[in-house]
Amino acid sequence: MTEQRGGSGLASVLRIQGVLVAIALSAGLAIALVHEWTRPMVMAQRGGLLGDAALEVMPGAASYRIYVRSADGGLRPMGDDDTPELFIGLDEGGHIVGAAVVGSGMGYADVIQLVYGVDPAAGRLTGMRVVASRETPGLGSVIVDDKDWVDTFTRIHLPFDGEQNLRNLRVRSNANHEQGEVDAISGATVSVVSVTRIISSSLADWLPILKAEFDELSGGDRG
Amino acid sequence: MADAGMISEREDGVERLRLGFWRENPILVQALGMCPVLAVSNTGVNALTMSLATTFVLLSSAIVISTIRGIIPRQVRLACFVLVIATFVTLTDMAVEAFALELHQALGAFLPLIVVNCMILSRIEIMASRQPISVAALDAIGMGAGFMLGLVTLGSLRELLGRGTLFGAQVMPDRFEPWQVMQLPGGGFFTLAALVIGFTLLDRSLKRWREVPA
Repeated sequence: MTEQRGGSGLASVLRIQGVLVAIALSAGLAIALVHEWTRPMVMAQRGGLLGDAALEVMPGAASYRIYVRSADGGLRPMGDDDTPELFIGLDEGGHIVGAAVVGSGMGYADVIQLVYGVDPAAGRLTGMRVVASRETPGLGSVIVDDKDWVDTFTRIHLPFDGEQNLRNLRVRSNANHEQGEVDAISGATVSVVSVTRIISSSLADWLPILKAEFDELSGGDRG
Repeated sequence: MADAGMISEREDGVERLRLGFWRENPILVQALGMCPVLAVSNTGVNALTMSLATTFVLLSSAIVISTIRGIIPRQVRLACFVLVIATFVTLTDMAVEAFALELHQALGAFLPLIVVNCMILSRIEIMASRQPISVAALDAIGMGAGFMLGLVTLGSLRELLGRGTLFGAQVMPDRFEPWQVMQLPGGGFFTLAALVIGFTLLDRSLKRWREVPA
């Protein structure tokens, strides 16, 4: 009897696990199939959104050229299979007026993707727009909704130390924008710090490239 | 093998459809799923999209759960329900993101949060896990339609008074000054309270009218 009960208990556990595994596998398969089907459409729409955001953060830009980093660390024009990394803004006459970099990183709830404008010659940011985020509505979502806070990114100067090495942007209440400080927002600390961290780490990668290549790009094809 | 604890008397599907839409309306009577109701009812389009997404998740989950209800062990039924609901929520989220990115951004985190909408879990537990597919589907359609009735009415009223538009089209005269409060959370609460009062009075009037002998 004991062996029978033991056998029956094991069968019950196996049945429970079997059902859960079968449902989970079916769910995973359905999600994977739909993800593969919708991903190209999402990426195409995101590309359009990134371009619109890039034009907003590059004052005076009427069009742009899109670049990605090449294997040797330089820049090359974006190919069909690439995702946008750098927008070079051009005015009506085709002259370069600024650059916008795509950055992403973890926020409070999910990945935040943003575009920020930078003027490498003047050493300052020219704007920032969050393109994708799932921050808490009413709290972290202020990184999208709070227009005054978003507009402060047009006034933030890049902070350099005495040896002209780029320092990280910092979050402060009563921020001094000329010292590379970003205004803190009560209730959205993690989201604000995430945006600041994403821009700082992206700038560390991109600023040397932009400084080295900006003049060369000025002589390139018009977009 | 069907679990004895999950077998119930068969309900009338058409009656469930009618009850879900009116007498047991999930928003105006049962006050279920209030978080997304108040959060995304600032415009008619947001409200319609959210209610369509919720109805799709409820109907799909009800059909799947009702189909496999015989093999779901009672001990892990809630885990199975949440797994199925979460799958359909994820599929809906990806589809809305692919076809309407702006709407997806407007709805924000509330689209994935359909997974914890208590209306869906309660209908799955009460109906889909105990009734045949036809009854479960009709119940889901009734509840979804009731959810849509409440949410779209709320969203349309808030948009009309808060923006002067209806589904994005200007309908109020130019001299109309929009009531900003209707677009704020407080406006959502006031409008919902007014709707519940109006719905209750209308329901009572209809009852009295039916009871009057010919």
